[in-house]
Amino acid sequence: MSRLQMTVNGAPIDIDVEESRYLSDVLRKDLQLTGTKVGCAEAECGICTVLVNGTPVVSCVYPAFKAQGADVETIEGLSDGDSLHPLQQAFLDHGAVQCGICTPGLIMTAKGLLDRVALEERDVTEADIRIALKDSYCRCTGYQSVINAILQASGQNVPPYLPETRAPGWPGRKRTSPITRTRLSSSPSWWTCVK
Amino acid sequence: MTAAWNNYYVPDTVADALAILQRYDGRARVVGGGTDLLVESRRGLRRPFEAIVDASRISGLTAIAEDADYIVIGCGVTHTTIVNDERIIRSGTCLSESCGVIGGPQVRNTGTLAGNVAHALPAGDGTIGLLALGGEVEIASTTGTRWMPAKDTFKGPGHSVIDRQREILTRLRFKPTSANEGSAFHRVMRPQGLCLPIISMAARLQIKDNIIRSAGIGMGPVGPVPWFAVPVADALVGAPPIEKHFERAAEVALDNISLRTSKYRATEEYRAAMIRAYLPIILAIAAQRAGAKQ
Repeated sequence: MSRLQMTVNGAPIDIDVEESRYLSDVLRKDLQLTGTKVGCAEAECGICTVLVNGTPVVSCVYPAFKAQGADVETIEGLSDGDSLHPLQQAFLDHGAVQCGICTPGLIMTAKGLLDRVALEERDVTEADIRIALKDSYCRCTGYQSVINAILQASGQNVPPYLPETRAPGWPGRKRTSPITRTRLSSSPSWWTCVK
Repeated sequence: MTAAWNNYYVPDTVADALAILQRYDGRARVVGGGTDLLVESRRGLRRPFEAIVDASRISGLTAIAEDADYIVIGCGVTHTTIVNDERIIRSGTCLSESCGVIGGPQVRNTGTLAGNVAHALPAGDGTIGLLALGGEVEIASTTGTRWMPAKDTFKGPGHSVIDRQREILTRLRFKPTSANEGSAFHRVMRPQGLCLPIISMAARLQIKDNIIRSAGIGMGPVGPVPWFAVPVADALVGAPPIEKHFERAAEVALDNISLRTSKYRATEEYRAAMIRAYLPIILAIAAQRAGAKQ
């Protein structure tokens, strides 16, 4: 056991962990930040991506002690209480989330990209997004909704690719208001509806 | 699961790193970004190490520098940094191109060129780019430091003359391409999934008065080690940079290598076809960048 000091989502962390740990294990097991998921565990799929000093890295093969003294950001750090981060809201609006396991990695990879292009004082392009997501696998969404969501989060206006935007005659439903996050505590739970 | 290592060191100086290696006397292992070794450890393909010495944060070795003759790359420089470096894009184009296809963006943010070269895999893309440029590596040990050509460091698949339990590859360097020189890289690979190349090729050409004056060619995987293709370069030097000679260069390459059929990647025949198809194109692009007339 050794002392590992780093900043996680803005909070200083100072814990005793085994030096053989990977960053994903420290985040998920020691810090209980289970928002970071692990997919392939061999640096292929990008699901476990977190930001270390602002750079997207695959935490499943990233030794925890390599992050000694570093500033680590995970999906838990994005939302500010009840208000979602623009990326999270855009992912909801565009239906860029289905099974959800790749979503934390996609969003953190996207955040790394948007932060970088902001530093370079330019707008993000679809090509930037496609390059950044080259090794982030998603089996559900087909990627276009993800790309649209990231463009939207960067401030560009992209119509959601949802049923109502499809060709006339498609049996889609008309949405009247944007999707917002519902919280179990403030809205009727499904079982109260059943009762 | 047994731990893949017990201690993880991130030394700040080369002397500290070497002292740790000496203390562990062969039971510690040097890594750069660790994106090869730690994946293998995670799969259980490696016997555990007592300690890992992470060479990616040694001060003074995390940046790209320029001296009178060389562009010098520290062992902590990641692929992403190389891909985005203006000097390397301009005067070591094939290295920038080759580092840009390694793994995915997240892996390139962690992986280092030094690790790629020291790992000595026959298909290491960054290694192929550096070979074509005529790159050299600096190896530090307790007895001192020495520079040697990168092409002489390979002993077999994954085997390097660098003793990774006792020595550290500290810096890499190459002579930047001048006004009448150009370089290019291309790799043939499956579009998704297994990221290893079917074939990677890089070329550096110097052209004067419409004659190729010097050539450096790197290829892999075409044998047990990344191949610095001297016979191909010899066939090109003295010839004009035209399609006929580029096609002949591909035949010379095929005469000098024995390709293998890989269960996951490609057959011997397909690899040969890709060399015939792409080596002339790579040479033509390098020649164009060197200012050759079309």
